[in-house]
Amino acid sequence: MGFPLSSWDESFADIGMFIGADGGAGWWTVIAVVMTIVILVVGNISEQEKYNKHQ
Amino acid sequence: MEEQIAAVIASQQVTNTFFAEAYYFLTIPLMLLIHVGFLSYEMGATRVKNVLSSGIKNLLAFSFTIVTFYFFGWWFYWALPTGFTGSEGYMAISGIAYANAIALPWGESAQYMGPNMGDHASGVFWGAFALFAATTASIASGALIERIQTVGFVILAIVLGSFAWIIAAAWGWHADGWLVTQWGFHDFGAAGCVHAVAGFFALGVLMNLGPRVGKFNEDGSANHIAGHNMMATVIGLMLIIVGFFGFLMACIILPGEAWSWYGDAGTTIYGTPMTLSALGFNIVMAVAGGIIGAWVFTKDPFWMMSGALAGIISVASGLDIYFPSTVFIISCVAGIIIKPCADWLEGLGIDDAVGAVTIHGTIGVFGMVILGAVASGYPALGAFAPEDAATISFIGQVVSAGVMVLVGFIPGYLVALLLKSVGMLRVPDASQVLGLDVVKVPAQAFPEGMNSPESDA
Repeated sequence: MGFPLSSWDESFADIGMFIGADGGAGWWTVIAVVMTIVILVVGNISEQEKYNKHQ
Repeated sequence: MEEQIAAVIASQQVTNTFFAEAYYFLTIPLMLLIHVGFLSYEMGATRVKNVLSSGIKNLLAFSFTIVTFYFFGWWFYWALPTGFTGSEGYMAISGIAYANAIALPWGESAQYMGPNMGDHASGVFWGAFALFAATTASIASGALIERIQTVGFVILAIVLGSFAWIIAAAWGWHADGWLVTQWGFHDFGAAGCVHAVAGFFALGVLMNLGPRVGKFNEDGSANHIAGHNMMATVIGLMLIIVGFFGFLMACIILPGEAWSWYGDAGTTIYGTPMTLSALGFNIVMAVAGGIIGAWVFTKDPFWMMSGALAGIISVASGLDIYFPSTVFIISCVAGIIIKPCADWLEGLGIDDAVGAVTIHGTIGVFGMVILGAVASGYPALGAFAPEDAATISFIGQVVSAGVMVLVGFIPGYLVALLLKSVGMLRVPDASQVLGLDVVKVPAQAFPEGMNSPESDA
């Protein structure tokens, strides 16, 4: 983490200026993908319970 | 003097860059109106007992498609234009190595997938394509209302929005796409890769999903299941039309940027010349033609507004080169044939709740093929194309339309079959009869009244 550039002037080159641009971006993506999958799995379990309750 | 000239040129370039960035950025909220429209359209076309459930399904399809398009969908567009080999094409803007360099949200390419002062293009292009992706999911969504499970549908929306349509776009909506370079495929406004793919994807799902409870009688005859709010449906359809202006605006490549085809002329995504003015003529002529055509047989506002959609889709492939009178003729015919086509599909036992297969699938194919009949010989690529590049032809459009149908239908059918086998596709009949809202939504659409007569809830 932390500011990945030496100064804001460096950001005007063709370079990422976001948090994680110094190499951590991929980990944010990994966490986001895992969250998405878990939310879908949990959502499906909840949905099936509702259908079973009204059978 | 030279310094002053250089300063003026630099200043002009800044203006051009910010204009281009703002242009594409503004297509995104315009395209969001497509989803406002689909939301209103679907909820209106649903019975009272299922209104909120339909809305939730629509919202989640949009959201999960956007997110997954970021994770991996964008990569497919740049990686696979030349086919599943992932090799680099003639224009050197395709192939797995190229996609790895610019379209993955990790590693070195992450610099083009987030804030970057040196890149005014990737975000707005990605945003426009993400909205195209979400549009495909919303198109399929309407056909499946009132009996598809939420998470099962979300998975289908991800497959359609972040895989199937973008494969079709890579092949037929990219200057290195093999359908373009080898068959001369021309599909300016995405009648194929968006509409036909989504329509036939929906057909593949419908064949596994089955009809709503009560749709068909034992003798095979169909019952009309009316939605609860025709006004919401018709206004929703009109909002989709409004959003289409943004959709079609985003199909133009502006001049004067490093990624532009030309310094002084707007082009299609294929690099062939075009103007916004062409769209000014042709979009509204198509809307008018579709409405008038649908009115001939139906006199029904639902089908008349569906005719407007069909009108645009029928000429979308050639909106850049059609003459407006031609647009009217084609779109009017599209409006005329949608109801008979939808009735024919229903006669086969397919319960397409809003006519999506017909309006987007059948008319999408109709539009691609008609363009082949009237535009044969037009160059499929801009002046930069290799000498042996194919031109637009009837056969090329027919073959490409067939590919679009299969790219939609096959994944739709197979993934739906898989979901069906694990019990994640169809809502149990008991829950359908009771109403999806009371089963799984902790709210009511109309808490002070209005219940579906066939529901005890």
